[in-house]
Amino acid sequence: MRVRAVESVGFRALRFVEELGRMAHFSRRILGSLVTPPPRVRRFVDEVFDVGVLSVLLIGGSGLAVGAVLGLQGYNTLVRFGAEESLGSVVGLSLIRELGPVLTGLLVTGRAGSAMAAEIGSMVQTEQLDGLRMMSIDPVHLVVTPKALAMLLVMPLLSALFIVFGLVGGYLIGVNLLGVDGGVYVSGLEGSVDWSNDVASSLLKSVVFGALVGLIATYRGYTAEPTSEGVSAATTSTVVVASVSILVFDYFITALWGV
Amino acid sequence: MTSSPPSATPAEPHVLLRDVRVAYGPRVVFDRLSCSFPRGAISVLMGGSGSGKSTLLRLVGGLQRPEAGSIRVAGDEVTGLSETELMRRVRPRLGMLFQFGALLDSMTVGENVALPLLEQRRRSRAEIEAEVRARLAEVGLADAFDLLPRQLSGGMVRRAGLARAIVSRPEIVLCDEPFSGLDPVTTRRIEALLVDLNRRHGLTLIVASHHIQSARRMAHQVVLIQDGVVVAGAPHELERSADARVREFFEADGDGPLPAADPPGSVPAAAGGARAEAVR
Repeated sequence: MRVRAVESVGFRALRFVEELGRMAHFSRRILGSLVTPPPRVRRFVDEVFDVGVLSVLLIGGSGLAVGAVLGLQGYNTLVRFGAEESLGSVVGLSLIRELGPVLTGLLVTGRAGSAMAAEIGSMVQTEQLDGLRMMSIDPVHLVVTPKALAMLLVMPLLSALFIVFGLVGGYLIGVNLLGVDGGVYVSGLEGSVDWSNDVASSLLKSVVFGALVGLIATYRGYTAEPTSEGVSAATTSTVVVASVSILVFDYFITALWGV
Repeated sequence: MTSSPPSATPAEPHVLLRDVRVAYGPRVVFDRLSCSFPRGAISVLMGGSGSGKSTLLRLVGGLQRPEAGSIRVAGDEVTGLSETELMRRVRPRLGMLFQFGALLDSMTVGENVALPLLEQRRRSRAEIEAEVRARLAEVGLADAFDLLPRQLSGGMVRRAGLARAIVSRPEIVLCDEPFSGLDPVTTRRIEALLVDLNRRHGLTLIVASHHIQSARRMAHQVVLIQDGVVVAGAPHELERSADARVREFFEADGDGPLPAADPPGSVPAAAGGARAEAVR
């Protein structure tokens, strides 16, 4: 019984390592196709629209709500210590350093990452990718790379948008509803946020999350079983794996940034 | 255009498979399968569901690799080629019509058909558009240039797929179940198109199909795969085969496995000059 359990663990570990190897090979193909002509400009722009522009409402609304909650919770906590003038700092640093990139990553994974995996998976199922191969067109070059690249570009922009809307949400609650002075809110924010530290780490996180979500979504879709269940499984695993990866990488980036 | 029996005579093999083995896990699809497809002829691949007709087409196109054996396409051995070499050397000679068209959903019919030519980057956009319109007119879709695949019927999708398969003027066209799920009129129309393409352009056509009536009308050669055994010959020869299973296939719809007439492991003999090859 114990031997079987050890065998099972070993088998899973091997499968995990094998999967990592395949993903590394897949990402090498994406990188290779970046420098292979012709550039897929139109498809890239279409993907930026799909991933980015169509996510603006979701990201803006979510940012506003998260900022409002931060303003409310932050004020209720700070007022106990008579430090409500620090509300701008608390809302700003929370959003910029942590919540902005992480929540944007999770939201974009749910909205665009899953759609990306489902789209590529259904192209596998309906033999569209095989059709491209028969026309001597590399599907990674035509289909996968523009999607992964769009995700990489769009994630930091959406994260910035989330942060801006969050700051507005915090301002509306803190200043307009709870009576914190507007000038104090903004000057607290200005004084506490460090560009080279807080903003740079936020940017790094969102770029890494964009690369992760783009790679995981396209890989899962590309390697989906050509059945309805296969496409469904690819979509689900994209959301699960990308979300967990975002949280794990968030920890490591946060921990290593200060070293 | 009519779909009367074509007059071309089968010549030397354009596609040749030797001792090919394919298995999905424990399920062996082919074991030492050998068959050939003559240049300039229409060969119809027949067999029950799951007999490996689509797999054979995928092997020829290099979309799937055999575990063992040799596959030669226009003289080139394809089994050892990398994906890049396949794209450069073999696939430009091939066109493939997939069962459900495999048109890209995000592109119009015109863009789909133009795609192989745009990728080759040898002609101007105006020339490509003219070529695409000519091919669409050839398959009876002159008005579908700006439509999206989801706006087409099943038969129209198949014809658009055919236009895309022939637009870069391949030597060999592989057709995977071009008649499945279509009404008799559309079936006859696509059948006539294939015969016409074969006659006018001298294309080698390999058509995987269940459709016995179409095979009778259009095929120079029928390749029947039954329980891993290949029997090949002209349709009228196979219909008079000494093997009861072969005859039964032509009398039935060919939709499923036939009752075993011979002891397991026996090799069916094809009558009337049909070539039979034991594969296991």
